[in-house]
Amino acid sequence: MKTLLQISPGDSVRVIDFDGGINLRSKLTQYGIYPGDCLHLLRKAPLGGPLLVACNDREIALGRGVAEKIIVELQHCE
Amino acid sequence: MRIALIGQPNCGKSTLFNQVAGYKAETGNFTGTTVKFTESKVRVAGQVVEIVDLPGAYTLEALSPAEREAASYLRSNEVDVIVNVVDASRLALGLELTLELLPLDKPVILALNMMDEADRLGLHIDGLGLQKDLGTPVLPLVASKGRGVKGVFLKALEVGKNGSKSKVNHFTKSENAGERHGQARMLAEKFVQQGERRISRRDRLDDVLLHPVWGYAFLLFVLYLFFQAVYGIGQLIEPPLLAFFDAITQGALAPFGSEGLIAEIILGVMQGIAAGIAIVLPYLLPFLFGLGVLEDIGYLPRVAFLMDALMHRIGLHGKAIVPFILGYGCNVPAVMSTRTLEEPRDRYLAAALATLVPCAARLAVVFGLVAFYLGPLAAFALYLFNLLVIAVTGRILNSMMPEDTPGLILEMPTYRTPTLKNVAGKAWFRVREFVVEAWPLLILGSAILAALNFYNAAVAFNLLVRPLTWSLGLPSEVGVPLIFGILRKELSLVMLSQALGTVNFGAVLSVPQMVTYATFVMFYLPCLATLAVLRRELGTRSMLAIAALTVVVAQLAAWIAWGATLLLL
Repeated sequence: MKTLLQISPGDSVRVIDFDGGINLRSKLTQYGIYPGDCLHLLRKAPLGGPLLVACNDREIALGRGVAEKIIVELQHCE
Repeated sequence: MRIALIGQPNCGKSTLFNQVAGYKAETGNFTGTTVKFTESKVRVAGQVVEIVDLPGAYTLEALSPAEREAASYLRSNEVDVIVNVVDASRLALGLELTLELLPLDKPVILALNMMDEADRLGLHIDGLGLQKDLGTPVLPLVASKGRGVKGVFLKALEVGKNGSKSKVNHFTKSENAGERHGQARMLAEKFVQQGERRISRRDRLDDVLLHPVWGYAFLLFVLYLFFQAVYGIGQLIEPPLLAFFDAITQGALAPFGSEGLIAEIILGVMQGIAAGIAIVLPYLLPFLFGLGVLEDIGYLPRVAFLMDALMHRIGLHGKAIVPFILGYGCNVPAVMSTRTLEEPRDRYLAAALATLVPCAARLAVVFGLVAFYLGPLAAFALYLFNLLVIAVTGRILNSMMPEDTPGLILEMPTYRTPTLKNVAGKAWFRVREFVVEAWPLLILGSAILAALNFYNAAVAFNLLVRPLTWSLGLPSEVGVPLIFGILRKELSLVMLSQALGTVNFGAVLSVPQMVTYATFVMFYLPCLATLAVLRRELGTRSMLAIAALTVVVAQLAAWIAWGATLLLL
């Protein structure tokens, strides 16, 4: 088990679960990120900045606090 | 008949709206540009219909106030037809909202926008198949170029007249967001064929623009260039215009002599007119045009990405950068845009800090005074100092209000080529506000001040704020411009010329006085319009608290600027 924060840029992961309340869950699903979806980590901003992930044709910036709460597994997926 | 436009953020609803209604809604290539409803009556095929542009919503089960508004309006009000705008290049995402709309008891038309973008990505969309499966009309659209706009509204009129409801089928029953997510993906897989991608420009562009080093270098470069361009263009236009108005004023005064009440008032009116055209507009126009270009390209969310780490230090996340950037245009939309933030604490903090951002009107003061007499570098330094003050204020406020934000979640839109029509329309939309509302006030204020001067009544006003002006080492005459500046910020420059009796400020104010005055004007009390919108968004108490805060900040900042100028000279 890893969080999205522990992944290196360039890797693909599958979302397992969100480690947060209903608020976080509905926020993420609003942006089209659901458990079971594939995320591709594009880049990390320096100095504790956000992560940029590609998910379902959409690019989304996630703050580190949010990324820390996304449980993922390394898996090559499309 | 009333037609509502709804769609996910940044799918081009407002662009479509502006195509039929003329430029009335703010657009920009980032999420959450539209935070209120814009309504317009439009003639379609000989019939007058009302079209409503709703704020973008990812889902009807919404969280941010802007989204909640859209959802409740759709359910409650008299909406006859729903036009669901979907970004065709990302169909799977847009359809999630569509699947929520279909079960509503209203006819829905699906407008697949940005078909040109989908085409560039090599996507072939089977619109007819989708129409059959959804049981609702599906039409292609390129709103930015006006293609397919007529078709969409003719169709809307048709289904609105017949009152024909979209047919219920097996796709419309899901109450669960997760299920809809799956259904939307299935539909997209079924009806979208991926051909060959014709661009990958965007990835390479982001490699540079979001780069840990080059990204920031580029950001600084863009801001510097922007600044230089605004200053350069303004400089080019301002002096000849001023000379022109000087000549006219002399001509207008000739029949009345140079003494007496009428001559004073005419002088005041002419100064008001001249200040609007010759001092404010030369900087305002290029600024708004440039901001429009940056917005439409889609660079602002990249700025949010780059600035997120820094914004965290003042207790906000990167999304709050939008109010800040809008604030440089005008504080009113800046405060309104805080509605896209989910947490009340974030909204309060972002609104308070956004009112400290020098708007275009205050830009006129800084440029007309500091840049004109001390050079563009001094003005640039003042802007950097402004950022520093905002950061320190943010840190202090942040420590008083514990943070509970989940952090940044923000979509990065695709880069888009701005169209001249949209950028020019947008600049005009914002300039018109100045011309129609502020300028008459400016002229009137200038005339009233001239009359006050004639009867020596200004002295009373000046005396009222003398403790303040004295503590800042300013001449007492600047009291009136400061008071009138609360009406409109431009007045603090325009009426300064009236109060000091000359447009050549360099002759009557010393360098530290100019810097101190400009700094104080940069921060103190937001204008009436901003105060009104603060009250509406946050309530009377918060408005008063923010107003008090700005005065304290302005006083402290002006002292620091005063001291710094004395040290540097």
